[in-house]
Amino acid sequence: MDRTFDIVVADYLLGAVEMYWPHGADGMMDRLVGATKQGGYMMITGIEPYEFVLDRENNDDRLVLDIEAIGESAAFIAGESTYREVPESWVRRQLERYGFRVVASKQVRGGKERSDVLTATILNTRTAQACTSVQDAPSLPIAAIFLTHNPILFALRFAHRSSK
Amino acid sequence: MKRTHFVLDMALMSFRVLPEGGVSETQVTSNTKDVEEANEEEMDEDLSAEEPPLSPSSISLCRKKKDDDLFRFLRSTLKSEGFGASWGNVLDAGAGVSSMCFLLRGQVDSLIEVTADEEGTYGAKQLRRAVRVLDTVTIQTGNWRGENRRGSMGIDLRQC
Repeated sequence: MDRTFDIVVADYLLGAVEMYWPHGADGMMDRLVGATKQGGYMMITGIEPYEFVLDRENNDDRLVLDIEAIGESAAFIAGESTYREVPESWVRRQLERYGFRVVASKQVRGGKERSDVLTATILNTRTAQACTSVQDAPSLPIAAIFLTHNPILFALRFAHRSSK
Repeated sequence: MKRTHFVLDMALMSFRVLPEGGVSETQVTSNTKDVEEANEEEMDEDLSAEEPPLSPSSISLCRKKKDDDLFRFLRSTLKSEGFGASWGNVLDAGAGVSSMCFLLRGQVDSLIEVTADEEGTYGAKQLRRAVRVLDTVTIQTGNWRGENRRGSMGIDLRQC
């Protein structure tokens, strides 16, 4: 690629790279840098990884982290890739290595409106449904059943996407 | 509505420093910290300002799509960095309705939108339908993975 641009935008892109290019975040940065002309600008938005924001000592936060972990595990067993967000600190380090200068940054704390799906009761119910599904359909891959029958995992996995 | 948990979104604007002796069309202050501090007050004012209108050939998909805080922040930053009426040639490496509408409000000379999928919320088909009246916008499908990797969909922007 030898075409360069005045402005290159990566809007919630780095976290999604993992789904198409496992362990390719640094390679993606290569592409983005290569597309930015000398004297041009790169704009990156993203979401801080949950483990950087949520506190495992806090019960509510731990619930979210636990569900995320279950979702990651299920996806892994099913052979699927998931989002892998990268922290701002990682992005900054990469940009510095490539000779970029950060001219401005901003963080926004956003609430996720998931009270209708994310409750302990619903979590227990869905988990029980998933277990029943496994018993009812033993010929299917367990991970696939779990993913299919647990909408909470999907709701969380794609929460920040749908909020855009 | 009651919030179940909070997340932290971030936006970051960076400048590709010119080689020694190079001249940029855009004046950039050498001290980043000063720039950030100086811009803060101005941005606070800009963030409350109304969104600029879409181009005359504005597309219906964007009419109801409002820029969020991060996009408003980025627009203010571009303005303070000296970008005027046009943002020049722009690449949206991870296309979506939000980012595309944000960029179309910036009056680009040309815009290439790259998305990995043909279908779905961020799919190329929807975006192509939306921008079919705009000759400055190209929708490209690909996933940025190396051209020679098995099963990949390489992107060649020279063809755009």
